[in-house]
Amino acid sequence: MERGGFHGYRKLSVNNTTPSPPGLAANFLMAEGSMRPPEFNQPNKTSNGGEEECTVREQDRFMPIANVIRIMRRILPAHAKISDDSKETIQECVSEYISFITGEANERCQREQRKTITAEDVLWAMSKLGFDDYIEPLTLYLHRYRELEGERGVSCSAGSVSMTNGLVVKRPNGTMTEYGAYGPVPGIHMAQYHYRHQNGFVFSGNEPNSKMSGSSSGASGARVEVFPTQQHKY
Amino acid sequence: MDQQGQSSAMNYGSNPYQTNAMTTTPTGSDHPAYHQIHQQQQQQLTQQLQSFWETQFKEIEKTTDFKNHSLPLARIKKIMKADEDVRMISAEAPVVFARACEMFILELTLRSWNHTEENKRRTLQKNDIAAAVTRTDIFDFLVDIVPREDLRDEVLGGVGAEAATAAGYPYGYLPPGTAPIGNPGMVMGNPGAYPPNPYMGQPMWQQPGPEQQDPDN
Repeated sequence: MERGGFHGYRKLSVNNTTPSPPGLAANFLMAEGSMRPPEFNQPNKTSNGGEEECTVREQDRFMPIANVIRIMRRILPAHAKISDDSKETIQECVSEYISFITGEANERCQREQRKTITAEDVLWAMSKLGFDDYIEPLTLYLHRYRELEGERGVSCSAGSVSMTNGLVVKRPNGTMTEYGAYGPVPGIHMAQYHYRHQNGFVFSGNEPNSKMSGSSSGASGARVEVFPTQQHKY
Repeated sequence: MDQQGQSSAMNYGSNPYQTNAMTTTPTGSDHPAYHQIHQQQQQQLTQQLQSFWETQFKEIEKTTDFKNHSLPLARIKKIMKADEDVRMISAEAPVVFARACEMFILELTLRSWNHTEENKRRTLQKNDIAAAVTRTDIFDFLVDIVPREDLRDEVLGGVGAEAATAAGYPYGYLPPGTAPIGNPGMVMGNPGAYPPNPYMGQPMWQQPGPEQQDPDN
């Protein structure tokens, strides 16, 4: 089956081995331990690794439960109660959802010999895995995000010299200021993204990712071409 | 919204469930009381879901703040990178995921609550989530997160063997080679005149569980 190839299902085997919560936690820790060596050994990973904390906490495995509960309550009637085990189950489901979609998106990246998972890859993966109802609202969301954040991004790019600068700004930030850290970063990534689109869609061949910035008008044209194509998929 | 409605219609039109529903209709009529209750419940859920997606689209149209997300982007990125094959992630991917996960939580909660109400409870429990997972194709990837024990408890506690056999029959039929678009697995439509929503398809191996609750309501 197609599902057999998803990386997300490797985690599932871990879950299967130990059904009880304490065991589950232990297995996650073990899994995390086994994943560290490969990251440190790979040069490409090292640069990414520098952005992350050395120690991955157990709680980082899931979305914050308070956020999850708040979202759940938005669609439940006022008198509804939520059992503790269902709160935890939804937490696990969300992480599994992210891993499931990410696995599919990453496979597409690898087939096309790209290194960076883009928002389009995520949307494509959702469509492929049956989440058709999500595509239209998320496509709109992404468009609006680019309209509003993209403008700020461009001005940020004007003020910053290169990707390195963005990364430097990002590293010192602690957890509390993580949102602030994303302020300048979208702009830089957006610039990179715009250029990649020109490569990916204006030109026929698959070209490796480049850090050079493309013109905003060119990128805009590329975007217009992309989404009609995506929408045809469903 | 018209556009969303058309989109839903298109999705349904291209879905193999239609054939399944037509095939199983005659059999479903053998259980009029059960059929009617089930139909009303599923119709209510379908309407709620349609309203949900329309609301999502409208909310996004009005969104102006893209810096405060319901879910932390850094956490999303860490979960994405838990897969060691994942190398680089563009800044936009976690942003899209934040909204997607929000919709995922809302949809899963809505479908789970539907089962809570079927059982006349006010507390959303783990077995409600299990029921929602078994009833929804696109949630197949969650079957191992929600243990089958939750479903077995339902079956044992809710229905006798004979009733289970009788009520289960309409769902036993599975057209060969039929599969949902974009999601491999064994699926069949619901019985009855009411056209089934694509999300109402149920994995064959878990069908008897949640359905057996209905006759006792």
